[in-house]
Amino acid sequence: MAERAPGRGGGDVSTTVDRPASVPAPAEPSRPGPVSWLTTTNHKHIGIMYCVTAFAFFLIGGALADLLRTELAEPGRQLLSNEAYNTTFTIHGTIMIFLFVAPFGAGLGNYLVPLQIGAPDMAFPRLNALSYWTFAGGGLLVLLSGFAAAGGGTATGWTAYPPLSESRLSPSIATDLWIFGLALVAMATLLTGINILTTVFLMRAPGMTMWRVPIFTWNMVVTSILGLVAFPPAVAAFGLLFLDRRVGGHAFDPLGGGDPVIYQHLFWFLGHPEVYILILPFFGVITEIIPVFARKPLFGYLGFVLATLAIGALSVGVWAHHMFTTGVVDNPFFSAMTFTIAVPTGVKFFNWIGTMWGGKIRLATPMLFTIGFLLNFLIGGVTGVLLASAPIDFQIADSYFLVSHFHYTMMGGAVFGIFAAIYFWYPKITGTMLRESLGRWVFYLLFFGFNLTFWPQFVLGLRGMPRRIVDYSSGLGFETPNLVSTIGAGVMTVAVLVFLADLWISRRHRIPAGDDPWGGSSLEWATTSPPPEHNFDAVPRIRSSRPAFDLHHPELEP
Amino acid sequence: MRLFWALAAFFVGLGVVYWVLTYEWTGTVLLVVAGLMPLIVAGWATHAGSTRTSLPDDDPEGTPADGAGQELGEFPEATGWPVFIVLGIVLTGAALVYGLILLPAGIALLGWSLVGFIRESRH
Repeated sequence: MAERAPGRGGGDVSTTVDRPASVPAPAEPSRPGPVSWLTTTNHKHIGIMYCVTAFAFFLIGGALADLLRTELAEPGRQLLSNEAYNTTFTIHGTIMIFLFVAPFGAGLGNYLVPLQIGAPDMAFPRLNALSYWTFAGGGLLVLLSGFAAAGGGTATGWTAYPPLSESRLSPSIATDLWIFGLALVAMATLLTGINILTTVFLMRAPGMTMWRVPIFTWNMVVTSILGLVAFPPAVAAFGLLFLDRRVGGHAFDPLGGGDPVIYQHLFWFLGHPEVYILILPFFGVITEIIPVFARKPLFGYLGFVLATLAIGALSVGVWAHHMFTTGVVDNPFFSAMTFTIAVPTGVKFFNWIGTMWGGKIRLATPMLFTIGFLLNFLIGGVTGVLLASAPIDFQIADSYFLVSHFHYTMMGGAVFGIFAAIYFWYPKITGTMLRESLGRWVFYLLFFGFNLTFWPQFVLGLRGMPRRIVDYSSGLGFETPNLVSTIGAGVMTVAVLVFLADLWISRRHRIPAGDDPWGGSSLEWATTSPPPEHNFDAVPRIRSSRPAFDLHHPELEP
Repeated sequence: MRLFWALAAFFVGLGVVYWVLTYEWTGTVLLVVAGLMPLIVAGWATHAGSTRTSLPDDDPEGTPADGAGQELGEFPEATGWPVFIVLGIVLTGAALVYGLILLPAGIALLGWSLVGFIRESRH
């Protein structure tokens, strides 16, 4: 049961006391038992549950990735059968995208958005609980579709293109479970999106105008809008696919007169905004972190918000750059749109560097991960511009170049953002610090291992190795890069183990953090760590986008 | 508010451009519908904004005292229903996948938990 993530107890409903959590607001925060975790409507508890569950999925997905890399270490077959390999990369991709990065962003949003705008909770706390459990149920089904379904796991790739995903070619019920699980995850995203938008628009503290809202919250707003725009078409696609498979529909089956390309349109209309749903929360995270550790205000707040809005809007018009090689989409249109989206992203890099420029930078662990994010994401972004050019894409589509490109954005970007967020906000969430020394080790191992894993994959892609193959011949120049890549995956695994050790040590021997260990500037640093049930005993006066900084340094207030 | 008007205009505009360039139905419909959705929010916000005085939230000089007495609602009690709703959905879905014999149980669980969830929100 992956949703019973570590740190939340067994969740055994039947043996515990009845309804300890329905006592109205106890003065002293009692240690929550399993039933209160199951029934909570508090945005902070739900945020933590989202993050812990998502991280548990990360561990599963990471273990699958290690399996894949071990299989590919050298020519010949190592561990996995053909079918097992296909299932493994399908579930690895699905978990990392839909069950780890996106829900981790949703969890951070749940925890931080009300704190950052000075609200006591989300606008719809009960809906919030429902969306968490919907996500958990959907995640469980996706896991089942990989491991526990009769007739073999689902093996369609995370994109599940028909006709491969039609029942002729994927008869196992695992694919049905997968479809259904993702529909649930989509529903959870919609509910969370509505919740966050309502919270930000209607529950800000007095004086917290929209132009003073922290960048992380702004990015969650744009993320939520994108979720609302992008997920319904994908649910429609999954629904039609389900009808094709179970009821004998022919929406996407060319043998019945259907059109598989329509599935690709619907899927990528989700799929491309989805990558911005994945990355935007972590753009927000590092935009919170850089000013704190550069000890300067953010350079260009307004430009940053407008750039985020521009990315959000443009990202809806680029979906078919995933379909250049189908030959039936308007390549110049999507190429041009995709080049355009690089411009606001460049504006953001300009803002980040401008914020660091001339600052007195403290290289604490969150800042290290942030700098790692900038370096990796830049490579990911630039190779994305290459891929956006249709003539180049025709050469390297579906090669390891593409695999490396999106790992540089998703893992080098989003996952480094996740670690930055964990090290930055862990003191706020628990009231205790993580170990700085171990944190540095995690960073250096992860950064080194990551580049060791994925840089050789650019080479592999240019030498012509296609993605999604279980084996390759020797003598094609594939051996050395693959071996190096597998070693890098091992280094990253060590990094994650060191991180888990860090968590364990920091829970056993607690170092009190105080309310504001970093000298933060947004409103969550003005309350206690961990925050009380209702978040703020007294909301401070808000006169700028840095209310906590103004509170702690009244002499500098404008 | 203006944000949603702008989004609607952008998506519909992009949809028209896309149609003129490609004559491809799927993308055009997706873009235009994506443009119509923000209109709901924008329309509501414009309507509500015209009939309501401004919130202290949006006053750059607002102080916490301005928000005093503002009714934000109350904390809801802890609720166990979401877990059962999701179990109901999962069971119903499993019925569609594994066999319709599970369907009555799934629908019953889903209905029971939905009714419970809604009744609980009334008090």
